[in-house]
Amino acid sequence: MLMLANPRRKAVRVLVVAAACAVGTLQAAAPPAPDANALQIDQNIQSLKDEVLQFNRDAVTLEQDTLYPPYSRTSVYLGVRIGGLLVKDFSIAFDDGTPQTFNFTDDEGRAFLLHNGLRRMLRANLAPGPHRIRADFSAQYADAKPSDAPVTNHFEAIFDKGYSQTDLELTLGRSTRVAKPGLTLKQWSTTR
Amino acid sequence: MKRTLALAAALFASAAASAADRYLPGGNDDPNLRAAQYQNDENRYFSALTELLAVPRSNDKAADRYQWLLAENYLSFGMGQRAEPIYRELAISATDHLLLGQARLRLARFDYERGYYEQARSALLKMQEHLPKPLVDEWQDLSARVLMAQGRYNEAVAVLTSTDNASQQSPYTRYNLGVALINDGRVPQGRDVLDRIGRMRVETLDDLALRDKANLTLGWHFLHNQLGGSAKPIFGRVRSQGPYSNRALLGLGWAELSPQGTKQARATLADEELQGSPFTTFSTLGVLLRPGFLDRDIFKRAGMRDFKLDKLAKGEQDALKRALAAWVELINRDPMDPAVQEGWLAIPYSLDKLGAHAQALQFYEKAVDNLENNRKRADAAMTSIREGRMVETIVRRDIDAESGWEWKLKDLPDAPETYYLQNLLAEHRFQEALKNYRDVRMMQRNLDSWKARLDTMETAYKQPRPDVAPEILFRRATEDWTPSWTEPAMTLRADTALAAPGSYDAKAAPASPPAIELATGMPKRFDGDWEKIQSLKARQASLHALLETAANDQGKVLQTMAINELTGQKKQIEKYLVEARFALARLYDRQLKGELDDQH
Repeated sequence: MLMLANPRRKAVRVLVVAAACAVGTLQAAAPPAPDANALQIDQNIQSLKDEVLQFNRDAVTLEQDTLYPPYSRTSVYLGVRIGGLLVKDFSIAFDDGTPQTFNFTDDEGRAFLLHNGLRRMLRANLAPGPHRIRADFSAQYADAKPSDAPVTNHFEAIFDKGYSQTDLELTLGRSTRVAKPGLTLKQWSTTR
Repeated sequence: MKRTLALAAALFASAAASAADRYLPGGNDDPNLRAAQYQNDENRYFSALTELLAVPRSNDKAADRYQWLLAENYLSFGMGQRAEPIYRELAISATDHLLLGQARLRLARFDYERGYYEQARSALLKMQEHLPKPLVDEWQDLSARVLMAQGRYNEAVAVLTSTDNASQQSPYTRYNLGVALINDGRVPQGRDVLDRIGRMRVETLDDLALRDKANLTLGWHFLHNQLGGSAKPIFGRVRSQGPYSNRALLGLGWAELSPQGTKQARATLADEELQGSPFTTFSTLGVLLRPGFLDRDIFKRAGMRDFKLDKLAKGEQDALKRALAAWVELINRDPMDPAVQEGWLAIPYSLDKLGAHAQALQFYEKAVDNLENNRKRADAAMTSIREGRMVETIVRRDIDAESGWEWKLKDLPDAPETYYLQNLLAEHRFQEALKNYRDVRMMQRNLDSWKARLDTMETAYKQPRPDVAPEILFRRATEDWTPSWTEPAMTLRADTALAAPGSYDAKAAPASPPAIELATGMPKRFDGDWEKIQSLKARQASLHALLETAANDQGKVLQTMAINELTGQKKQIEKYLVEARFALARLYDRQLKGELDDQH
């Protein structure tokens, strides 16, 4: 028996069209009213979401304070400020420690570019005083050919860890339009 | 010391970060806020909300970005109740009216899709007065959909025609206008609007599907109004392969046999220019069932033996042959489609009319077999739904996605029930319930992961922890503090045998403790890390149980909707079966009486 080619794809097309069209089609009577029970369940789930979020907030805060006490807490964030550049790999190390490497999917790479958001790469406990940070990255322009060599660079800097939590913002950017993409470091601390 | 010196030497060989900049928690520079932005951009709304809620915020009103992001993520995670008051608060001081308008429209769309029609309508009415011009089309579209969902077709038409922007409205909006006009009794104008959508030039596959849907809707509207002559060319515009082609083929056949009606006068509503024919391909039903196709023997193509035609009028014979051409094409398609199932009955009905009684009998027998198989499939689908397999299969895709309300059903599971339920799956009431179900399951997994993490924290608490040099704690406490004197510098040391200076000699004899007057506002019980862990463990267990109940409730709602839909379709199959068996009995009876003499 001859079957329609890929009926599931066609069914999805129906979903797209139906989502944009009004409820019901040509009908004599008014469409049915929403189910009150369904609305009640929706409201209950919205309240539960709130409670689960509060729970997560409290649990994350306690876990963070336990694992990374404020006097030693050091957080590293990465941001990308070059349009169309998708970061693929990123590695980071403190002092003489072993580098930690992170791989990014294209979607994760694109998320950096949407609203200049930062991704927290890691948290570590560092004693107050000077520390060396080393970072490497590999990136690729979104329109690059597969044969094009990836954009890579290395970064190294010293920063002074204070007695309070420290946030390190590494930004992948370039100083001029023709300069090679590289990382810069900005150190943040919070006002209390 | 050695390490410090090495680092000092390295300072000259590498870049050095400048002194730390300060940020206000929750302020625009706060890296935590910007991390939440990244998570938002990754559609991880649950994580973004957790991040935002963990930011220790002062009551600084300037941190609008925090509030916007919070509201946006609440809404994206399907928490309109939380988002709404934040947007209301932001509206007081907002200077970007376009941004605010977009947010309000999004909130109204949430209310509409979740079924809170009255809230959606009220919100849309409130924003109408100061509506930024770029949002007019979207506002009209959403307002009309809300009104149509409430059955207020007249008001929907008024909203869609209140401004002179017909040419800017999307084809979807125009389709809705056509439907609203017809349901409001302004039939000729509604037909005209649908007709224009049915002839529009298209650029995307979605637009093609909409054009087919408009033609299908209009074609069946004509058919229901005994206007087969008007319905035929409309059905003929539908693509031969598409989501609406089977229903169109069925309608095309019935249009041949139904009263043809009179030519309908066109009543235009809009000031749009009539377009030329966009049908430049051979992929429509009208082209597929062209005269040449029909002239070749349709009966041979259907695998029928020759038979003697009854003495029907030439026009009626031709109409039956044209109807058969459409239905023979139809019955070779997906047997689970109700249109195909109806086609199995329509063919023997036509054959019987044409005098091909024996062939009609064979087709009815085939139809009974096919319908019985379909009834079994429907039963299997119902079992799958009752066991909750369908919903679990759907939500298993992107199982850990935190996309909440923004989650889209991009693919359908390859299961028997999927096809039966595709219309239901497209409805907001089902999709929104599905999103809630997904979210609840995702939160349960989140809580499951916390069980192990809390156990780890509890174990860690019991282990001896390294002492922190008091000097570090003192320096941290005084880092942002400038003393009002210069000397002497204050330091801190650990004192393990604390007593008044010079008075310590030996451990003092136990004495009755002095009465301590507790300050008001002191906590009633100690709330250290251990107590916090225990409290979190209790909350985790209690929330997990509540989520399980919510998942069951939501699952039942989904199951009931699916079972109702499938029951309706099963009843239809059973109705076809009764019709087929009745027709068969009639034909057998006539065969016994020797009345079926159509064979050469």
